[in-house]
Amino acid sequence: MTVIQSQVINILASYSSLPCEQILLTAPLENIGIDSLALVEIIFDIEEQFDISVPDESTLASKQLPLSTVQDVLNLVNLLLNEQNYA
Amino acid sequence: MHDIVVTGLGCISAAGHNIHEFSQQLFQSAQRYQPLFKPVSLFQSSMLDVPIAAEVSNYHAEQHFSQAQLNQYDRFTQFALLASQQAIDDAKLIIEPQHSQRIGVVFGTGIGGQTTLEHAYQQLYLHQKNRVHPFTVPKLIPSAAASQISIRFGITGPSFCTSSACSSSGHAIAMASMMLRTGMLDVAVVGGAEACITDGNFLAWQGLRVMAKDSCRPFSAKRNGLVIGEGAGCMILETAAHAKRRNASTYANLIGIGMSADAHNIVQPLIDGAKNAMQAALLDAGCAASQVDYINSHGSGTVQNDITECQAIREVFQAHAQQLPMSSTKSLHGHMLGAGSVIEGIATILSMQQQMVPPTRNFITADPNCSLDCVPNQPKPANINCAMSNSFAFGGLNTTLIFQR
Repeated sequence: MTVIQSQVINILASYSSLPCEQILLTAPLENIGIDSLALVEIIFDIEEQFDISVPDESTLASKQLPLSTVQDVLNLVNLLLNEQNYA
Repeated sequence: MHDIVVTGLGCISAAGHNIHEFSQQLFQSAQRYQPLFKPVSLFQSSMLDVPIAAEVSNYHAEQHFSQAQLNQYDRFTQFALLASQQAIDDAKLIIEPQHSQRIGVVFGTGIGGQTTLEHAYQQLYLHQKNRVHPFTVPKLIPSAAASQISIRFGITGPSFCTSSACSSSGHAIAMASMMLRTGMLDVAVVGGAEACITDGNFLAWQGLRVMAKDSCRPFSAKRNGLVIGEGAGCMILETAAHAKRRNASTYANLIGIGMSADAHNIVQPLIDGAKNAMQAALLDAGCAASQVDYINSHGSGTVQNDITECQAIREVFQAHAQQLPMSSTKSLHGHMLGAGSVIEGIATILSMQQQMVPPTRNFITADPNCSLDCVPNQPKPANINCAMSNSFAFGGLNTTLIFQR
């Protein structure tokens, strides 16, 4: 597991009904107890943790970047970090 | 018009975390009394002289709320929830969906989520961040406490916040009373909460030059201002008929509410405004001034308020004023601003329950301009059947409540 993956899972776990080790990458967020309200806070925590700016929902949708699963969240973080590194 | 009774009480303040502790502090003898005002510890003061405040001591939010809840609850909302839980339990009030629309929440606050507001500004201006927590807005708005109480207890009747500085919770009680009297509600969860002991807010208050240097000494010749407090108070008000139907115990009847505006000055009080509120309450209660046995005064401890209030009381009560005990419990719990009216209303009710006048603490020597019996330092047994509680706020917004056994 990469450091980034570990950090993302830690953030998700603090809002989830499951501990870190039971959170699978394929798991839909709602299945691990994360609703839309929790997702708003998760996005904030991710922005703080990685010093990135997460686009709003409509922008994410237009770029076909869903936030439905744990993997989606990790993919977005990696994408935004890469964009920042090459900016 | 329905009669209104008080069936539950709850509070948290510098004078304790519940009604029992509050009552003990209220009626503590002068010999055993220990002042509750201390140098502020909730923030690192940037002022040369560390100001004093009436903070809620030994309070650990994480003992009462989860992290997820604390992400949504400013400190003032936390206090509001704790006080309202106590009051609802005390009233043995069961709230079920089929009648929840007949119950409302009216909760006052002067400034709302000040801690959240200052934290957000620190993030933006001090730490140069470009984002704040997503719940900053729903956490800091003054109506947050009323909303969270309605959410927590499933209350779906008319629910809102009232804000009128030091009269905020007095107006909350008044508004709820009107809904109860007209039959719009059967039960109201009413009160107020304030938690604004913060660096920025204290700097702002310092500018007004009304904050006490050493203690809050209402009506004393050596008084030099108010001491800001924090906390919350809650009363369960019901129509007498509803209380009787469910065999609820009652503390007191709320028989009179009076409200007025000075139309005078944004900070200086006016004798006529205070007089009008008291006379309006007496008229509403249908009782003569001579029937009032005790006044819980606004008594903020500022030079001006105490003089104005005493003169207003003399004009309303005439000869009766000289034998009427009148004390300020702000000398104990501090000036709780938006929660002031309700905490002092609770003190008034407890005075009737205990048949004891709570004293004006920290009194040194009489001020000839305030020559009424302010019950200095020692609680006094008294026959209290009918009692009045005053709140005279900045901007001249006044409320007076009258309770009867």
